[in-house]
Amino acid sequence: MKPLRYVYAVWELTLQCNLGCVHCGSRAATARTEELNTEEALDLVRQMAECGVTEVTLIGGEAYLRPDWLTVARAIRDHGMNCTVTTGGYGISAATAAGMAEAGIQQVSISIDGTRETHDLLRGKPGSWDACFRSLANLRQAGIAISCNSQINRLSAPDLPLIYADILAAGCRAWQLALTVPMGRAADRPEILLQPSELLDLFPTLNELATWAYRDGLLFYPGNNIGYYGPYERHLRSMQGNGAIWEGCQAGMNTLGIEANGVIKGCPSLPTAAYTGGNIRETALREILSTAELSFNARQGTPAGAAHLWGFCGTCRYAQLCRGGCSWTAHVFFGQRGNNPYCHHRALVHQKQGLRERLTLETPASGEPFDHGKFAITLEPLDAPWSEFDPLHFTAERIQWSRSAASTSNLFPILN
Amino acid sequence: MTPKEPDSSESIPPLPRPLDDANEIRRLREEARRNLDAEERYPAAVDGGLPMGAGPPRGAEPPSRRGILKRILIVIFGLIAAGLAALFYGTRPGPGPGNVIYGGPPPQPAPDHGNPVYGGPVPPPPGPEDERKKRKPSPRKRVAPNAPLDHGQPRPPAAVYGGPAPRPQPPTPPETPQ
Repeated sequence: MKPLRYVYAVWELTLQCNLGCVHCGSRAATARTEELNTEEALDLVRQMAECGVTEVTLIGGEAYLRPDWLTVARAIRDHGMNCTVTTGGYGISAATAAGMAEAGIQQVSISIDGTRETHDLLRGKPGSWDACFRSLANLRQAGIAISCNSQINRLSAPDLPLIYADILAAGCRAWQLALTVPMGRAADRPEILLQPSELLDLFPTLNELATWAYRDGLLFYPGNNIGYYGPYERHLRSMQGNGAIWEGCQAGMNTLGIEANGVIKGCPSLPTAAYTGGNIRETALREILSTAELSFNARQGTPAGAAHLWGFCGTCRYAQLCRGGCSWTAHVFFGQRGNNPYCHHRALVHQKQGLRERLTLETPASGEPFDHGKFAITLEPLDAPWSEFDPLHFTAERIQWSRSAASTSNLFPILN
Repeated sequence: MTPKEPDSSESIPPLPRPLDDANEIRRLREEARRNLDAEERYPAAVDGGLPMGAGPPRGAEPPSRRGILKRILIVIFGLIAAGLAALFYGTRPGPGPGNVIYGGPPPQPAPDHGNPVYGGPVPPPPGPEDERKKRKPSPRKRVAPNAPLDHGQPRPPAAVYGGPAPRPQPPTPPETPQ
């Protein structure tokens, strides 16, 4: 039987948001000046269905702050597509949850980035952690499948086992993890980003958590910027299919990203300036799909598909299949894709050579949604002393396997 | 809003986008898997992590449904084959004295050491009993009490292994970013 290939569209319904996350890639706060109106949004729903989209995930900002959001959700379902939501989960009441279920929303993923203290700090709002779990309970009560997603950075990484325990107890079915990368507000906080060599301590932890998840029936889903081909590759992706491995960026192949003003990209995370194929107000979706900005992955498997690789990725044994890992991650570090410093295999190769890579911000981000700065990469001895001005340095010793372990709260004032 | 009727040119949805060279992707995938076979290993436990009693076998993916079915069928066919073999060979006469043509002497009866009818190991040969009686019993080795648990060592949360998650500590006022 031919496996069904899902086609996802991730749709930023509005940029308005009720949180102020310090790592928000879109710098969400207020609505964009020219967001699609209801009629335009419903027409986009129709075009997505015609173009083969099978699932639409509504995001923001905060999707539910847009008054007509359930009308859009219902239309998605009426066109035969799945409708899911990813949210910060700040204040989804029982009544809102019931309305979401009535509109046909099938699954909601709430972002949980740590224990109460860490999460509230990263999300920029005291009480947001408690609000998330109240929202999860309300959604579950309404019969909607619940899941969580977490950002991994130097503040949240030590909390991962505790997040696992909390979301499992809350009844979550799936957990998606992604590394925080320097886009939007995260680009203003390079000190909270993991350094490539810190992946050496992170990945055994992820592997352990994947084992727990497998045992407990929780779908452990490493996001597209977690990898690649290290010793845990197949184990980490085992719930994505038997023997699943990373097969390169799929932006534009079976994924779409839509910004609230009608901008269409191959992936919701990609920087706006470099990857916009067009605006749905001016061009039909089918036509936008044929642009170079949305077709750059179409040559995978051919020499042209790997021609953009440079740096370490250009020399890697997995180059042709991997194609530089997550395009978004590579681009927001260096301003172009094709050389991805967030790679476990790469960190291991350097470790064997007694080396490690260190990233330093050279050019700050401009301050626009989906913007990024530019980083320099330094190769240095593995045992070189760590800077005393880098107190958030992540090591395995900082991982909190139980709640009694020492809190890292003393490190937080650095963000103030 | 009424959905627009697609014309014939628009009948095939452009997504998911077909691969330019699916065969090459397949080849690259197999090559990567071969490389991973050499590279993958199960890790030592993370500091503080418990040994894993569940999950897929080390360094391997979990069995697929097809794999499980295959193993069940192998076991069933194996049992049937064993049953048939037992029936077939069970009806044949046992090897008689004529089998000496294969060499070797006929089986000898086991030596009788005067064992009790209950069987059991052959008792030790009678030895210098007096000497053994004279020997002082070796002092019992003193067993040290269990070392105290190192509470500084981080451990995984109990909630993960069943039961409700322990509630987090009462909230402390978080530092609000300025």
